[in-house]
Amino acid sequence: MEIVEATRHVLEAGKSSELTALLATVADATAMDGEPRFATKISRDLARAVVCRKYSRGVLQLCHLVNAVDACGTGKDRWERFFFGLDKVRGTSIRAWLNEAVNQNDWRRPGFEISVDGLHMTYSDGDFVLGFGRMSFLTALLETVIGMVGYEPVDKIFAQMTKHATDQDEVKDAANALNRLIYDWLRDHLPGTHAAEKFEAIVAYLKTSSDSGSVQVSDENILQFWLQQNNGHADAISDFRTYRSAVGSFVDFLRAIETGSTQSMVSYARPLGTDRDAGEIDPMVLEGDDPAGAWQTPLALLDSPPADAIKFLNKREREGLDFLMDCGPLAIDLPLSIMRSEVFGSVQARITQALRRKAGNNVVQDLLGCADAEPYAERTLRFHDYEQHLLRVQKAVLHVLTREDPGPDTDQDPDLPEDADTTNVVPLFAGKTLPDGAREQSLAAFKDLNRRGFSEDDLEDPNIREGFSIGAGALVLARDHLADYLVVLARLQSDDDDLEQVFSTDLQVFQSLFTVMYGEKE
Amino acid sequence: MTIQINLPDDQSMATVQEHFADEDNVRQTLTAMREAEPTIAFSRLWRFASGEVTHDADLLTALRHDSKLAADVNALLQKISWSHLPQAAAASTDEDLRLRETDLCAIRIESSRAEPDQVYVIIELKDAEANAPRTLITSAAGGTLERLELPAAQGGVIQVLLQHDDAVLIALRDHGTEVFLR
Amino acid sequence: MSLVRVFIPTTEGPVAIERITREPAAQSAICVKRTTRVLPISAAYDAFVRAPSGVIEREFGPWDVSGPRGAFRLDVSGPITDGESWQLGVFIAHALAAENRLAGPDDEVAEALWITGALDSDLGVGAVGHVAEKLHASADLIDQHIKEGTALRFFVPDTNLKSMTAREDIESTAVTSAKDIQRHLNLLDEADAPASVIPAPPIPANAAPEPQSGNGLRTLFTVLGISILVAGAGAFIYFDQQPIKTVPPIVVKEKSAPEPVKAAQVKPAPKAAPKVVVAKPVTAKVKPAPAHVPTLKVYELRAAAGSSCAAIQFSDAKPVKRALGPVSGDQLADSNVAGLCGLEFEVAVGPEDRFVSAAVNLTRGRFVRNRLPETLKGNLATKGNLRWRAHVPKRLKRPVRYNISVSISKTPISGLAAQTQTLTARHRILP
Repeated sequence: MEIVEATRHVLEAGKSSELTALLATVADATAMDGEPRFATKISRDLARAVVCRKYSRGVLQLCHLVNAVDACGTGKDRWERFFFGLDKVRGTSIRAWLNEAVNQNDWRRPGFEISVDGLHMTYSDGDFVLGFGRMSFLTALLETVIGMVGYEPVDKIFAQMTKHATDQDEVKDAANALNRLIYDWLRDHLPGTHAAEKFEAIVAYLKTSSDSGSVQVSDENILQFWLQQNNGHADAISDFRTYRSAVGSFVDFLRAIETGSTQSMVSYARPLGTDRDAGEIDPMVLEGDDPAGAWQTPLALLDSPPADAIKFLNKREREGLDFLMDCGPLAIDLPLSIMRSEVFGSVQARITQALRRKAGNNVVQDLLGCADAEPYAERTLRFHDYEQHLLRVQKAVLHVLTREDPGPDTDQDPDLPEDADTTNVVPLFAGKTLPDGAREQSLAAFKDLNRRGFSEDDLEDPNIREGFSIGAGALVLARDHLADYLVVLARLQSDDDDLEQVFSTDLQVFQSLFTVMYGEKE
Repeated sequence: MTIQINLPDDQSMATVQEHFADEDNVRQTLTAMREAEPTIAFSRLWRFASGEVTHDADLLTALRHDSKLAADVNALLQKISWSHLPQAAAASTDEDLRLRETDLCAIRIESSRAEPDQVYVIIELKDAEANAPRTLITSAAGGTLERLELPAAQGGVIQVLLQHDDAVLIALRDHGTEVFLR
Repeated sequence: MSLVRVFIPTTEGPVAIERITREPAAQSAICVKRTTRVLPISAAYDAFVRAPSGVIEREFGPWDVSGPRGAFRLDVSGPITDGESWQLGVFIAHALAAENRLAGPDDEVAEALWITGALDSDLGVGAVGHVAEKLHASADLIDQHIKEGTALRFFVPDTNLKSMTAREDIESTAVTSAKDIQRHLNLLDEADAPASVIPAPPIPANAAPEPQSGNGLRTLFTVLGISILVAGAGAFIYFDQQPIKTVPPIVVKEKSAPEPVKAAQVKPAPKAAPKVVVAKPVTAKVKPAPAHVPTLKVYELRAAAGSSCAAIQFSDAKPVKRALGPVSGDQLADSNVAGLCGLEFEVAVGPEDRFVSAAVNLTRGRFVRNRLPETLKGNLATKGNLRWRAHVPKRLKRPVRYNISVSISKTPISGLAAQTQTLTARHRILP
């Protein structure tokens, strides 16, 4: 008997390791100080643009940007200095770079202008405008494209384009050439998608329990679906190998139903945030992927500049909330699926890691027994802790947003920029007056948080202050969502089959299936 | 708790399926990215080639194993270098190179009389007034990159004294090595 | 043929010149312990060697007339960091090497020479700095020679002779020309003998104090002594070049001077070296006026009417600039933070390429943004005016204090190696 070979079970079908390694490389790229070169959200948006093949608009914008930086740079490596010389790629640093370049060198070619929001390019056949915030994404896109097709072909395209780029057709030609290279590369490297099979498997399963056009999705039938997909198929490569991926697919399915059914009625111009001075958050990133009203995890805003300069959540808190926040309102209807993903999904991840690193038989056997699975009641307490933490952070943010601003500039309020995304914040803190008790509490919370961004010195940085403004809305949304989820868990706890009982039952179910999937073979 | 869905008609179902495929692809990719082994980003390559970073052991190791990365760094160096001295002619590969030459400079290799184990690398600029290069980078056919920070030029000449087994010198003497002066 | 060892004293200890070899190199170089470690002073050594301005090729060359260009490799036992005090010893070592009399590290020698002094193009010897420290650092060498009973002779510029009085157990010889030592070593043709050479008197009580360093060979940008000149209205601060000190003549007291001897009669003394002083004043070299004096200016940046600090800090809005004037030395007038958006620093490098290294040292408080341009890190040549800005916090609980230091050099600035001109300013921003 032997442990079933890890790789047969661990790898999800149809993934391109080269593409994911490339995307991970860009996401993992660091600035000189070791901090990420790109904001987390940029990396996610990049992955979406590439794997969904929605990059052509970005490529066109990229070519225009290359044309502009070529016109204001110096040296042989004009565009490279801009895209790769920037250390931390943020809207603010991009704007500063461009301003400095133009101040020092002026434009070598006419037709370019830096405005408050971005670059304005005038061609013989029309204008093109590009916001500073979008440029971070384009920088990441270029890094990815060079990683795909190599530097030399890209350089040739840009060199050709910048020789003659007086009208937009030249830029479009370059973009088309680049698109072709990307398309060809992705043809060989994009994961051979199993999405169709997965979609059909879900639809077929749901239809088996219904004889009409109406189907039901519940915690129970998601679990049954996963068991059905994997039970007795130890050697087969399932599209739903991990429980978490099965839940994720149901979430995707429900969202696709919602989106696909209402597509004709919705606008795709949903702004995600603000594009203030720096224009950090740019709705164009999504290329119309998300319909109005679609759930966006609030953590994405915390991952974006300027809020990402503040450590609202540490790694453990971030990971503990990620899936719940990602699932959004669906988590309220599928509470146990979230709980099972958190608890047994983690156990499954540890099993696959142990197999991958060829851990000893006894280690794997312990994991298969789910001995270290966190009981649901304890996991619930941890969610409570996170909720309390979010409350503390909100109070600390309150201190930042309501503190006196003795600065001489009365013409604007740096804490609450007029075009900042302060949904949930402005009404709450209107007038910036607080009762004394609340003021003291918020100050105490601020002082207690010994994290990046939470010091009076940090608050002297306008970027940090703006980060608090932007992050405040996301924190309110995150805590509201968590609080809703905790209410649902409290209801489950009061049922006859309380969470302890459900955990006990689930423990046997997962132990049994993990043993079938990863355990000893006869 | 249960979510009730009325499945759409076939035409809408196709749209739903497309949306599902996108979401699924993104989810799979983001999940796979957590497990993926990052490699060398091009920005890191640029930092090294441009001299912003002078030591990057991981990069140098990767270059020996990744021909695409090595091609990228060569192309980049060729573009941004002050002078590029390509591989030497194959006809003379029998013996170690002692002279490499371009329109901009010549690199001469002379053994020391005083210390036979030591060798002078002399870079003579054809325009003594030109901005002198500050770095010499060798790129061997196998992807091995060596870097040597150069002293300031004096009267259009840069001179370095190396041990005969110095990796840079070995590379310089190899006909298959490309040399970049930055 | 008697071999002679030459020591160059440094403040870290005496350094022996072990070997001089003609090499198929392009530039002469000084190497430590026969390794590939080339000393930074090699560029100065190459200039010292190379004709027409260098004295070595002129005095002892030419070489390689028909062959490829060559150069010297000079191997030393330890590092010599900077300055020009090595020049006299190196010159003598070349003179000895030309006669195959320079001793290697393992050779038995007739005598050893401890030589310090700068050398001008006429082979006149100029004063050097830190002679007393160099003598102190040579204690082990001196004790060793005393113990072994071998000859160790000391040659110093006449103006440095007073610094040698710390040790009473040695005799030092003041020299004004390299030929004084060549003559002592019998390395000169008779035609080179001086018209009059007189033995040295006791060190005069009123000998000039030892200068810090410097002689006429110093380049425009050699600045060791610093004086601050402040031009009030223009609010610029700069350090001028070190004024060249006039070296007063050595006074020769008649009563202590033995009978003058003719040059042809001068022989190397078997045991004690003669003290030699040429009784003529050392002429101060006139330094050319600088073509450009680098300046450092600091400006306050405030928002113009209708604008704001944010507009200045985050967009292209032009600030109102006000130059800060000095109040004392390099201390600038205080600024008040109210309405102050930031500071702009401007270094006027001048019309020629220079390496500039700047540092803003905050001794209290902080700036919101204070990023130096790459051109101010000392490794890129630049010219003209360099500017950068620091943004100031909107409100302060305590004053912000900082000082700024800008070094300018003809060569890349790394550590303390480069000869630099330094500009400084101190400034406070009050709450």
